This record gives sequence, C-alpha cells and structure tokens, in this order.
Amino acid sequence: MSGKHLPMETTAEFAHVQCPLCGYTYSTGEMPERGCRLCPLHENCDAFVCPNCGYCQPQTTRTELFLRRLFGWLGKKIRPAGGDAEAPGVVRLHELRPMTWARVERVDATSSHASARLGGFCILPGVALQLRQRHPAYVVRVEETTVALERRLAESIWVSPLLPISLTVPAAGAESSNGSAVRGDAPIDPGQRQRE
Amino acid sequence: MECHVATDNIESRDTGAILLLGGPNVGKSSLFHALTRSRVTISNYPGTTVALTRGSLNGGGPAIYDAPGVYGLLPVTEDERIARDALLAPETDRVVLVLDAKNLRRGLAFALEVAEAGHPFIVALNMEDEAQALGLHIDHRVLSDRLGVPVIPTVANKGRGTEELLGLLEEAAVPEVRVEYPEALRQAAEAVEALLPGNLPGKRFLAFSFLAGGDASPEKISSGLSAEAHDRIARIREELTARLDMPLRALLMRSRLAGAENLLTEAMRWERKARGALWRDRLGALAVHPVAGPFVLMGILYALYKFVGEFGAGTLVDLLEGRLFGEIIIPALARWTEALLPIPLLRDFLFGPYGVISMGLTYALALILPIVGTFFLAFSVLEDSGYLPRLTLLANRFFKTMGLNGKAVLPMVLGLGCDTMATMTARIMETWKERILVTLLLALGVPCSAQLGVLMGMLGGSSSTLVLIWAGVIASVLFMVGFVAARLLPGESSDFLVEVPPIRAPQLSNVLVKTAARIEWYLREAVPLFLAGTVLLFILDRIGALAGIQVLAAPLVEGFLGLPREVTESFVVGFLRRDFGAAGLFTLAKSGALNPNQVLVSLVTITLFIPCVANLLIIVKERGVRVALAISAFVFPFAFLVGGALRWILRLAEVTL
Repeated sequence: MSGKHLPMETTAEFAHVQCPLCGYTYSTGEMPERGCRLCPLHENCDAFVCPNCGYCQPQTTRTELFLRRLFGWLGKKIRPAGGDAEAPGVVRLHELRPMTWARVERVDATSSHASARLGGFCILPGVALQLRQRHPAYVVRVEETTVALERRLAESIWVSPLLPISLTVPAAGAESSNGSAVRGDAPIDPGQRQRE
Repeated sequence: MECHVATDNIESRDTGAILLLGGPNVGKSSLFHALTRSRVTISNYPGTTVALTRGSLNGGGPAIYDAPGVYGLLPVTEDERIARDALLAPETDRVVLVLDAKNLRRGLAFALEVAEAGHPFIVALNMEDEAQALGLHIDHRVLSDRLGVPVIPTVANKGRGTEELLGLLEEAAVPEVRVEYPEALRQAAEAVEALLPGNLPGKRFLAFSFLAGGDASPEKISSGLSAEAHDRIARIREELTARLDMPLRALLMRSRLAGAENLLTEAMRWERKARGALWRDRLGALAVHPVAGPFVLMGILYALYKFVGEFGAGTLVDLLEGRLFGEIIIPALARWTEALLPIPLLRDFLFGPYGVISMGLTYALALILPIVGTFFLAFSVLEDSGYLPRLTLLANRFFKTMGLNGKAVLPMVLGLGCDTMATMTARIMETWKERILVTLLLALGVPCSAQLGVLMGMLGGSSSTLVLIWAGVIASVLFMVGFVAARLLPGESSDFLVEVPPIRAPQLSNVLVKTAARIEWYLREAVPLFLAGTVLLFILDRIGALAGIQVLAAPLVEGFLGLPREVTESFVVGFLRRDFGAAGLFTLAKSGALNPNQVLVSLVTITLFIPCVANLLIIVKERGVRVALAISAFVFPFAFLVGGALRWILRLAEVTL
C-alpha cells in the first residue's frame, strides 16, 4: 500500500474503495450486492466486497477514521518514513531518519523567498543531502555546507532515501555513507567522487 | 591607520572601484582586511557585514568595497539588495569574486550568475586550507582555463595568496562560459532582453531579474522602462510560470549548478578527511545536540560570567578604579591642580563630585573599560569559533513564539556587545516585521557590554536570588513584549533557514585585532559622551537645576520606585548612555546607599531604560524617525512601570533580599 491511510474516498453517492488484498480500486456502485452473497446476514451487511477478488472488508466508520488519524499522527512522531507522495519511496524531509542520505525530488516552496533560500543552499531537485538531526531544528548536510532549517521548510522538501551501502565506504569517512555511487541515476553529489 | 567607512552605496567619486563579492561567511572581510590592511570586524558567522565597507587598496590605491555576503543576485533581504546594487553601480570596475573552496560547486554557480551580469572578475578561491583538511583538492589552473578568468587560491586570514591576487587584478575578465538553460526559460529571457535598452551590459542577468519579478528587478532600470514594456514583461513572466514545473529561482540555480559541475570536472578530487576536520565535526554536532546542546550553552555562559563578571568587573575594576585611579592618579592630579589652578570653579569642574576627570574619565576608563575589554575579548573568541550560528539553532523555537526565528539570536547576542551595531545587523532579518521586532527588543532590554559589565559588577556583590530575579524579570519582559508585539505588528515572519559554518579554532591575531578595534571604537564613541554627560551634570548641579530635577522626579523616583533621590542623576545621564546611568548606580551601591531591594529595582529600571543616543540615531537611520519615536515613547515609561511594579510586588509580598 502506498501509505495512504484511508482506503476509501466518499463522493456524493458512492464510496471509492481500494481493496487491501489485490489493490483494485472500485466504487461501491460496482459491487453486485452488499456483503457476501452466501452469508445469511448479507441483507444488512455494511461490508464492501471487492468485485475483482471477492475480498471482504468492513465499511470505514468514524471511530476507525479517528483511530487512523490518531495513529497516523503518532506514526509521524515515531516512524521515520511515511510516504504521502504519489511516487513510491518519496517522503518529506522531516520523515527521514537522521543520518540517512536522500536525493531531493522536488521542493514545494511555501513562498518564492523560501524556495530561493533553499535553492541558494543547493537544496534543489537532483541534489543528494544527508539529514543530520531533527531536533531542536532540522540539520541538513549538502556538499560541505551544513544548513539548519525548521520543520515547516523540511516538510516542503520531498526526497527519496538512498540506501546506505557501508561496504563501499572507508572507516574514516563512515559518517558520509552514501549509496548513491552505485546508482545509475546518481544524483549530483561531489561527495561521491570521494568514494570512487 | 587606514580607516574604513560603512555605506549603503558605492560613492560616485570612486570610479574604477573594486568590489569584493561572494557568499556569506566565505571570508570576504578577511580578504578585505588583508588587501586594505585595515581592521574590519571579521566573524565566523554570516551577516557580519550588513553594509558596504569602503577602504582603499594597500591604504592609498583605488577604492575597494566589501559587500555583504549573498547567495545570489536576485535579492530578498536588504543586505542582498545592497550587494546587488553595488555590482550594478557604474563606478564598479572590477570584481573580486570570493568563493569558499569547500563549497565550490555552489560558488561557481554564483560565478556563472555574476558572469551574466557582465562585470569582469577574478576568482579568489578562499579557505583553501580548510578544503584540503576536508580532503578536497582543487586544481586552480584547470579551473582557470575552463572559466577563462584568473583563479587564485587564498587563505585570507593568514594572508596567503593576496599578493598574487593583486598582481592578477588587471587580468579580470568576463567569462565566455554560458549556462545552458531549458528552452522555455531561454526563450523568455531572450524576449525580455529584446525589450531592454540597447546599450545595457549584462542583459541576460537583467532579464532574469525582471522574470523573477517583485523586488528582484533593479529599480533604476525598471523605472526607465515604458509602461508597455512592463506589461509585456509581465505577460512573458506569466507564460513562463505556466510552462515551468518548478519555481524560476530554483530552475536558474539548478541550471547553473549543472554548468558548475561541468566546469569542475577534472579540476577537483577528494581524498580522506584530515583528523582535525572530523574532530571539529563532532564538536559542532555536540553544540547543537538536543540534549547536550543546552549544557554546552550553560557552560559557555558560566565561563563568560566568570571571565567578564568576576575577573573583569571584579578583579580588574578593583585594580584600576580602586588602586590606580582612586589611590594614585586622581589624588596626584588633584594635588597638582590645587597648586597650579587657583580658580575653585575650575578645580571643581575637574575633580569635584561631578568632575570631568574624577567622574567622567574614571567611569569611562577605570570602571567600564576593563569590563568592556574582557567582554569583547571573550566575545571575539566566541564569534570566531562558529558557535553563534549553532545558538540560532537552539533558540529557534523560543524566538518563534515572538514572531521571529532563530536568526534573531545573532543581533541579540551582538547587542550584548553593542546595541548600536546590533541594530544595524537587524538587516539580516528577512521581513520588515522581524526587523522592527529585533530593533524594539534590542532597544528595550538587551544590555550592551558596557552596561552588562556594570550590571555584572553590581550583581556580583549581591545574592544569587537577586541575580536570578533580575535575569528572570528582564527575560520575561523581553519575551512578553516580543510575544505581544509579534501579534500587534502587521506583516509576515519568515522561516528559519541558516547556514552553520564549521567550528574553527579562533586565530589569536584576529581575536586580538578585533578586540582592539572594538575597544578603540568604544573609547571614541563612549568617552566623549561620558564627558558630555558629566559636564551636563556639573552645570545642572551649579545652577541648582539638579536639585530641581530631583524634586520634580521625587514622586517617580522616590515615591513610585522607592529609590533615594541621588539615583535621579543616574537616570539623567542614562539618557546619554545606559551604562553611564548604570555606572552611577554601581557607585551608589558600592557606597551602601542602596539596599538589595533598591539595587534590584534600580537595575531592572536602568536595564530597560531608553537606548543610548548613538543607538537612537541608528534606529532613526535604519528604521525612520517614526519608529524611533514610537520605540522611545514606549520604552521610557515602560521601564519605570516595570521597575515600580517590581518594587510594589516585592513590598506586598514582604520580600527582603
């Protein structure tokens, strides 16, 4: 699952549901009948049945929505990678685990000033950066520049984490472990020359 | 000594001027210092230079200007606008582009932007030693060939490479290298270029300025265009925005970075980091660690207090004021004048209770100089170490509640040195609202080093409870005023984004020169005001006006604040300089005329007292007369109000310190 917390979006008449088993997205209008046909209780059943694979799931309730919001919020606090973006594996900078390297995918500028500032520090699509810490402010390393920024800006930077490959890195430079050197679409990062 | 002047524009008489341009904290000021052999304040944090600094080459050659550090030529803040305008000024002949060798890709992207502006330049590849320590090796000859302008490796703070730089100044050129922009952007730029007057240099750069819109386009050229041209530019801008998938500035930067990457091929290679660099990395990380960071800060504050509060304000002041002035100089001078000067009025003028020498000079030289000197020394070390930007990181959350961001720590901490200088540094804040807030808080409650020193001296003799209450009251007053003002003032606050420079071991020579420059500045600035204040008191005393003022102020000083009437004179001279007022209080407290409760009330009042004359003038210059008047009108009654409130609270709670 791409990380969208809600498997359902409600339109005026029908709900659009994503099947958690096969991934098929269907409208409740597509369902032949409510519930499972063989079940004696299907007349008043609230469950959705996937027309593609037949998998049955209960309807989303307000309680569930609340719990999902709660866990979603808690999850953001605990879990480093969430992934709200359309492309898989792309997260916002603030969701990254400290000391991981990532490539900037895009910057949603909150203002033209903010984007100019970030651009001035080389925080641009295609550039590799490392998140050093999250508290008390986000600290990012781009090339040999260290930049501190607040959460609001960190949220506007979308990145795809790069897998750390520790084998390629000598012990002395271990803190700059960056797997980008082995990727075909290597991001612009002079740091990689260090390891080649 | 070669003097340097701060200004906002290149002076029109300086045709053939040389401009030092580069990113923040790349060492422009160090280089300026090396080239002009003058003393400029150099610090290890961005934003030390907020105006143009003027000097002349080797103390007698052509004019040379040091520009504020900028990341690009499309300005957002005031200091960036100043740098951009200096580059475009017709008087500017050649540019020395100062690049940080550690961040060369970014630096070269900037160089490509400057090339578009059409000014000939040479490149100083500064901090080459630090780059090498990081394992980065740059072949400046290859780079020079590719760029087509001289590239000289320098280590400005040690004076390396500056002679060579001067020798190659004549070879400055506009690089032929051009950046390849995406098709849509190139077409839009060409369309705008066609609308600009024929003879302008650097059309590509100007076109981008107009495409960026808003404040980015240079006023001079913008006002020369017809309304029709403006309309067409606006249309081109709209079409372009619709075609681009990222903001214009980001796209420009990205294209230039790609260009820089091309230039760097074969010119740069990486080796293993030196040991020192890793060690500095760790120390730097410790200073901003969420848990360890505050402890590091407390340790630094404690060391500062020990050095300035105890050694400076205690040991040194006792030695200078008590021994040297009190027992040797003043009595000896007084004896001589008694023999040589038969006129009692003149004798009183020099050595009376309000004597120019016995009061004015003693305050300035024996009481405040040692305190200011020790503070400046400690502060210079702290500045050069690169700790201050790390402090902005720790303080960001706190300042956010006051409508500011962590960056405001820089002017605030600088304000502990001198509020007047710090008020100018408010320029580094991005929005009008933030600049006003910083100016207000500085004027209200950030004690400058002279005042702080005197306060520390007084607090040093008091109980720790008193110190804590004083600090607590001042901090909460600053916080509350900031909190309320942030909500009352219109305008926006900006997001926190700051560069954190590497931790460096302070250079002894730079620390000493900087301390000396600041002490000299203090002597020039403060001593005349101290003398003027003493003369004022002397005259007021002679014509009986002082007693009159004391009677008039009695309801306020004695009734409301509960202080002895002699304190009035401290408040009177406090109008000239807050530290002068504080020095008066110090002497009163030492003589035992104030009880601890009165010490606290008077200290709080004088800390919040109206800013000194120099600071007020700078506020007028930077923010306008109306803001200066408004701030004074608020601060003056407010200081008394807080002092009085504190007295009554203490009294009602029956607290005796």
